[in-house]
Amino acid sequence: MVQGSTHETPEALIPFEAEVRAWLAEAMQDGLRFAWSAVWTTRNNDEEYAFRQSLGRRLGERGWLFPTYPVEYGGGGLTPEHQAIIETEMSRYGLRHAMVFYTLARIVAPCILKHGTDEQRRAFLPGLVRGEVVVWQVLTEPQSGSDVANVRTMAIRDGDEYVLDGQKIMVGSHHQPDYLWTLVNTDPAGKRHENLSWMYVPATSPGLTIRPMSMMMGIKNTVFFDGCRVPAANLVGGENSGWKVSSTHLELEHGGAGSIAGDPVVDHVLGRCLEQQPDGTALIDEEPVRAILADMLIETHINELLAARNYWLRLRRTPHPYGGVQYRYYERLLRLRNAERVQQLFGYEALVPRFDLHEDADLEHLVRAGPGQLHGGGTMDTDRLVMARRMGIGRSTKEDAPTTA
Amino acid sequence: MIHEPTEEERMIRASVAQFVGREAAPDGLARARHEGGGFDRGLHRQAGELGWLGMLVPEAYGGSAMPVGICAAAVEELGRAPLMGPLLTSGVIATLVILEGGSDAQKSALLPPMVAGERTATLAAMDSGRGWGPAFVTAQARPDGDRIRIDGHKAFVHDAATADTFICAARLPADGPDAFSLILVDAGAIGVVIEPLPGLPSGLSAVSFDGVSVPTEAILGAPGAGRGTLERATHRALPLVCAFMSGACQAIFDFTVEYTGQRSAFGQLIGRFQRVQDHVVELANQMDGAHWMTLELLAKIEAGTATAADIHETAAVATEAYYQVCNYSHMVHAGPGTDLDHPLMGHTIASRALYQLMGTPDHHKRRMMDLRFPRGGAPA
Ligand SMILES: Cc1cc2nc3c(=O)[nH]c(=O)nc-3n(C[C@H](O)[C@H](O)[C@H](O)COP(=O)(O)OP(=O)(O)OC[C@H]3O[C@@H](n4cnc5c(N)ncnc54)[C@H](O)[C@@H]3O)c2cc1C
Repeated sequence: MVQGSTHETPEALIPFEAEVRAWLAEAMQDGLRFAWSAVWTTRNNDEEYAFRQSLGRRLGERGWLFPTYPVEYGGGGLTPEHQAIIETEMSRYGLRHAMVFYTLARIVAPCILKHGTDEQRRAFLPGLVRGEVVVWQVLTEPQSGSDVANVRTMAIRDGDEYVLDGQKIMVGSHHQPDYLWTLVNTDPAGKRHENLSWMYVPATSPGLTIRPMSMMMGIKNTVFFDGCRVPAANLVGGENSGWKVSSTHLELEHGGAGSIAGDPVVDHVLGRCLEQQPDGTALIDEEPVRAILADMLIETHINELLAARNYWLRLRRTPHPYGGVQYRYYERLLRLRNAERVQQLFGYEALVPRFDLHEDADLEHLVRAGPGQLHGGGTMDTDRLVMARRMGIGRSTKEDAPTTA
Repeated sequence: MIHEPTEEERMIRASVAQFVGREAAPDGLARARHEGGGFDRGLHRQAGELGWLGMLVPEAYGGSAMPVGICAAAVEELGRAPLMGPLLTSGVIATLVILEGGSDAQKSALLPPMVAGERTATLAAMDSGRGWGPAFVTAQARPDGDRIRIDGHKAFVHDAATADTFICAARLPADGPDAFSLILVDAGAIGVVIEPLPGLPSGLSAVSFDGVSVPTEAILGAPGAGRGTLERATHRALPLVCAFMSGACQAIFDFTVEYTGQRSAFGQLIGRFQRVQDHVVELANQMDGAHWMTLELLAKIEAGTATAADIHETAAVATEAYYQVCNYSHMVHAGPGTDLDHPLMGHTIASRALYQLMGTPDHHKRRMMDLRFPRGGAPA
């Protein structure tokens, strides 16, 4: 991990740090053998997933999945500094705090906390916050990708329910969800941006079908809604008011949450270059290798600073105007460059997965994901669009970054 | 410098294009490769019947020895698909190694069935996958009575699982520090262990030679001649690989431009967004750099004026272009382009697999500089 992004633990929290460290050492005992697995199907492992789910639940019981959330919703009622300690300690095990078991609660819970009614918060948040349920974000449709507002999935009110019809694509993962957090059109005659609503849809709803799609990074899914009935109480943020919920959602998806974890693949690359070869030399002594590594280390350092900046500003409720999308844009293009760099450095070795490594540290995963990870949740082009808008370029008013809870 | 295709070239192009279109629907290729299928012996035999596996081979060994321009035209069409596999690794690379290094008896025994598409061979040259050159050949070959015993581990071999013959690079005790020998090994020989590798490109395997015993006649050409053979064969194969990649870039350009006129977002065709236009502009610049440099190289080869530095320069440009053209096309296609059924995916996988085939772009750039500007050669 690069020095600039690490954070000095305040004196008063040293006992808490020790508590977290000891707790994790115990909780991770059975999990150490799973270090090689991760998010995508290319290295699916059910046993590992079960372990992650139980770890998520145990963290959730203590309020450590959402440390700063109110206790009544299952949170820890702690400070941002506590959260930073938990995340730092978890990253030592290659675990990303928000993704312990591949649920997108880190995006969905803040949306419900900010835009839900009291009743909805009490009903939906504890499951997400305690790590008891898996949720997918379900936005994209065949004709609605970058243009998120062009939703054609209809949700028409019928008594106490909405009836959903339509199709979503490229969503979720290979692990079945409990809930779908989905954007629907609730007013066929309504104006653009004034016809949208968000729904928290139980995956067991009748009329809902999930079909896997094979993508370069692993399994995504097509979701069909055929007369799918969902209780009206599951519409969050008000009928036809979905666009304002989207701004919270998209800010989080676009990197506004930031991060204080390092990039394990860079540590791995460096480690390999420092390793002594059978002939006594190390790759790091070769001039071309040094030049490539220098670029990789410098750019990674910058990326970690941007990520840490967003992390702290978010927890202080003072989001950076364009920082969220800037970080995401920078990181994605860095990963694309790094994907080529590891082929320059290691040739074929970068094309074969090593299952003894965590996916995030594995070269093949980096190469495989390179040009695919550019588009999840919006492309580099729309990222630049958002960033310009937030800087107020070419318009008289700047668009503000939403606070994201 | 404007190249007018000959009638013969047009015909072979059409024949390969037709075959590729019919036999290997591009949409299915990425998936087939991804799932480890990909190689179809029937397909390979058909390619033999159509005569392309003999394009590089003199008539004496069953081929038709076409001019390099014609061969390049055919390979360019394979690139459009993209159809890699043994058509490239056996039909071009191994074939050229045997032609450049084999004795008359070896060529007579090996080439006719390869030309007919009945057998395939593949090069098992480097022990490490990290680089290309004598430093990466560490397998040992020791005289053992009237035979030779090979021990080594080739970490990354293309199309090994379906190959009949390996051309294994190994060091005989008499080979100097910079020399090695190429040795023909039957895929079925005792001690040959093939382990197909998982990962993005299929068709890669690790191949171990554990005390494999072969007769002395299995040495391709003379002992210790491997380095020179491989160098000559590489310099003949690289221009064709460049043609493959150049053809691939053109196919990607075509379907990418088409997509910009079909896909809408925010109520307009995506081709109207300047950012999308920028991706296509960069794509075209990469494509045309590779295309024109490859054409120039082929013309120089036909005129007998191509240098090794020219070949390495072109290889650096075309390899990098194929890689970047895929990236730019991904930027235009976004999500749908990452579906394994999308034609772009076959190219993305091929561009990553070819990136270090006979050296990375960096390797070729270093070779180009070393050849054109030998070190320590600054005029006094
Ligand atoms: C790995 C991965 C994971 C994903 N996960 C999910 C998920 O969990 N849930 C979900 O709902 N979706 C998911 N998606 C879908 C993703 O959100 C979309 O791919 C993305 O929003 C882009 O939409 P699109 O692919 O339809 O591209 P399009 O919108 O069709 O874009 C095509 C091209 O047009 C450009 N373009 C479009 N509009 C503009 C503009 N205004 N200005 C300039 N250029 C423009 C784009 O940049 C791109 O170059 C995922 C995608 C990927 C690749």
